[in-house]
Order: sequence, then structure tokens, then C-alpha cells
Amino acid sequence: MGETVAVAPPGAAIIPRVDGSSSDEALMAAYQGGDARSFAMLFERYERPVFRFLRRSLSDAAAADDLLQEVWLAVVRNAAGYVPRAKFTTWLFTIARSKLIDHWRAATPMVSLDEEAANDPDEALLDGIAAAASVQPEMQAMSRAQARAFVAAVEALPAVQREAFLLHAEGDMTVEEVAQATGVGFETAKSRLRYAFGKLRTAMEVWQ
Amino acid sequence: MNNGETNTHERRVVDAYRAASDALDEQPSAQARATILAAAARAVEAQPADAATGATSKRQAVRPRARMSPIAPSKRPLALVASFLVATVALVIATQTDEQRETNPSALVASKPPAPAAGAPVATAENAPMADADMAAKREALGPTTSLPTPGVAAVDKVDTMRQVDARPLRKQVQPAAPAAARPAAPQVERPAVRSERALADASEPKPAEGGRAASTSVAVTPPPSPAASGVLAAVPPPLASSEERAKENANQLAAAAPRADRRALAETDAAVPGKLAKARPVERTAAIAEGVVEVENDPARWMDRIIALRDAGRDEDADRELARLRERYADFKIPPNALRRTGTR
Repeated sequence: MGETVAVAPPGAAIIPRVDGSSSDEALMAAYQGGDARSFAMLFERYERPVFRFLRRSLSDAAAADDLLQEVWLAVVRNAAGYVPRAKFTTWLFTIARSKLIDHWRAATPMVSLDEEAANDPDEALLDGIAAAASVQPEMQAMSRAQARAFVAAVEALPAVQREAFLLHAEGDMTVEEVAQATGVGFETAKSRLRYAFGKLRTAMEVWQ
Repeated sequence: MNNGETNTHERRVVDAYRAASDALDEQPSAQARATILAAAARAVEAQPADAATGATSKRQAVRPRARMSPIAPSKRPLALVASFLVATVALVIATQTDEQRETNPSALVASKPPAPAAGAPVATAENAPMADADMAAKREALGPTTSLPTPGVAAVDKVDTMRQVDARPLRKQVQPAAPAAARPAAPQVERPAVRSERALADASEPKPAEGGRAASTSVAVTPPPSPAASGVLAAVPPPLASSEERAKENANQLAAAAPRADRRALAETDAAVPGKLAKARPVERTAAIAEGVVEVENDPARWMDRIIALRDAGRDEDADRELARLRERYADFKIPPNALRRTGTR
């Protein structure tokens, strides 16, 4: 994207020279080379999308904060092993999703299973959490404002649909990348997204 | 939505969601942000830094070197082993070459034709390595032996000697046509067995030539007092006057090449020392050569042979000097006519 490689003396490590326009992968490579500024740039880019991804999936803002820290600390810990085989966002949101599932597993001993997620424990977990969150009073209160209404509609989506939608909207992922991040087939991911868009369009028509 | 492509409606939904998120301005707490950034900075500082490159990441410190190296890391041990093997083979070849230098000259000497007049002792300096001075010495040595005045003979013999093959056919071809009676001394080729600044000595004991004649005309090199004579060699007297001139010229060439041939001469001398002596240390070998000089000078007949050889080689000044010393030491020794300086009337 515009990253250049610094001229290093022979035998010295070659650290990519990065700036604000550098790609995510170049920033990660620079961070691997010891450039802490690169991590700050990455964090600046994706702190809010990741936070919103977590926040939409959790009813507790403090829990979202904690999970956000866990996600980015996992990025720091695993930075040395990062290989840019896929987009950085796919890797990042996969970590966020894993942390989210871990959080739900720890916080919710019992989940309801629907037919779609009968064979997928993660999906069952997500759907159970989503059903519980959608009926919470504070979520109803937030729907008074237009923005909050729309956000509430997102949060009200079934977990797998919401997850697919948030990965698509916050992580800017394609269907293939959503399928890869969630570990499902392309058609499944596509179907989830289609359902999510349908419900959100309906919600938009209501408050518009 | 087809393969990740969103249609207009889906795009509107996404845009609406992003607008709503922006309107809500949701962001993590400042403490969370600070914690994350501090942890990231600590992780960078905690990485072991490369002393040479200053890189703090192990991966980055290793990868550029791997890119620069033409050998893949997995093949480096193999390359190391291959390098060791090549070095070992080179050492063995060098050792064998040195041994051949010591052993082949005897075969070369053995291939020489028998002396027509006398079984002159064969100096083992024949086995010298082929340097420029050696080539000149070879030409000089061949001069009396061959009756062919053309330089091609020397060149052929030079190549012959360099290859260290049996020179007998070629020797036969260039065998001197001069009768044996033409000169009392055998036209025996003698190569320099010299030590430059110290003493020029016939480092080897006289050996009977193939003809089995006595060593009455054995040729030896004596230590010349002048450095110019350090590359001296003895040659069998040629039957023709032109050969004398050529021998003189060759002697001059050798004298000029003496400094360069110094080390060669040492090698020749070393090679001439038989048996254990050849394996002795240089100091021991030098002592042995000095002993050989003393031994020659203790025998007036051998000393005289050496003087005659010098005379035949055109080194009259050296021969005169040696002769004077001999006369001082052995006043009653009868000087043969061919040991005297030729006046041109003979």
C-alpha cells in the first residue's frame, strides 16, 4: 500500500517503514520487528470496531472493556507467530470471537439450543446468549433513540446472524472471510448474513 | 449477496449501522486503551535484542540473514561437511605432490642414459620443482648432453620433466653424437643441488650412473663465495665450443634467477637428501648439507671433479677460486688439465 522497506546495513534486521497508510499486514510486520508505533496504529484503526463487535454481543459495557483488553493482549502475545496468510482483520476478529465465546462459556452455564445450532455448540451458545440479551430492559430503553434503536435491532439478532453481520460490518469481511472466521461453510455464512440483513431492513422501515 | 458482494439494500443497512455506531460514539475506556498500549510496548522491549543487529524480534533478526544467505538453513550443515571434505582432499593432493617431488626425480635420473665416458654420480637435484630457474638449469644441464643446439630440445625436455614421465625415449633421441673419447668426463647431466646464500653443495652422495662406471667424474657443486653464484649447478662438459658458450649463458641466467630460485634450491636440496634426512627438519638438513660439503672437500678427487664441473659449466671464476683453495689445502695434488682455465689454444 505504500510501505517501503528501510535500507538497513548488512546483517541488520530489515524493518518495514510504515506510516498511517500502511496495510494492516505491514504494520504487524513492523510490530514484529519491534516497532511499537505500528501496534498503536493498528490499535487506532480497530479498537472501536472490535469494541463495538464485543459491545453488541454483550450487555455489559465493562465486560466489553475487559474482553477488549483480552483480545488485544492476545494480539500482542501472538504477534510473533502471526503470518499474513489472511487479512489481519480476519485474524483479529477471530481472536475477538474466541474471547467472546470463552466469556459466554464462563458466564452462562446453561444455554438454549435451536435447531440450526443443534450440531454446533458455539452457535447454540451464541443463540442462547442472544435470546437472553434481547429481552433485557435496558435494551428496550435504548431503542428510543434512532441510533440506539438500530443498534438494538442489531443486538437483537440471533447470535450467529449478529456475529456474521458484525464481522461483515465492523471487520469489513466478505462472505468467504466470515465463513472462515466463524468456521462454517460459505453457504451457511451467506445464509446468516441474508437473514440478518432482512431483519435489519425491517427494523429500519419501522423507525424510518 | 453474491460471493461477498452486497447489493444496494445491504449496503444501506451497513451504512445505517455505521452511522448509528458513530452517533453513539462508543469507545473503550481510557484505562483499557492505556493498558493495551503499555502491554504492547512492554512486549516489544522485552523481546531479546540481537547484539549485532539491534533487532528486538527474533524472527526479524533471523529472516533477513536467511534471505541474504545463498544456502538454505537446512543445507548449511551439508555445505559445511562438503567444505571440509574439499579442504581435506586439497591437503592430501598437496601432500602427495610434495612426495612426488621427492620420489619422482630418482626415476627421472634412472631414466638417464649411461654416461659414455664415466659413471658420474647423479645429483638428485634433478627432482627439483619446475620454476623458471629450474627451467634454465634444465636447459643448461641439457646443453652438454644434447648435441642439438636448437632450443626446441630443451623445451621438449622441459615439458618432459614437468610431466615427470620417463624421459628415456627423448633422451635417446637427443643423445650426444660425440664420441666418448672426446672428453674424459662423462656428459652427465647434473642439476643444481644448491643452497643459495650458505653453501652450494652436492647434497647427495654420488651415485653410480646406469653405466655402472666409477664416480671418477662425479660432479659436485661447491659453495660459491659470491651470492651471484648461489644458483650454481654443475654440468657435464660439452664436446663442442658452442656448448660451452651456451653453458656459460645458462649459468648467467641461473645466477640472475638465483634469488628467485632460492627456495626452489632449498627444496631441491631437501629432495636430494635421502631417507630420513628428507624427513628431517630444515636445520638438520642444512647441517647435513654442510657436512656433505666438508666431506667433498676432504676428498681431493671429488673436489677436483666438482671444479671440473664448474669449469665445464663456464663458471671459471668459481672454478679458479675452488682450485686455489684446493691447491692451498692439497699442495701436492696433481691438477688435471681439464680443471685448468682453458686458454683457447687447446
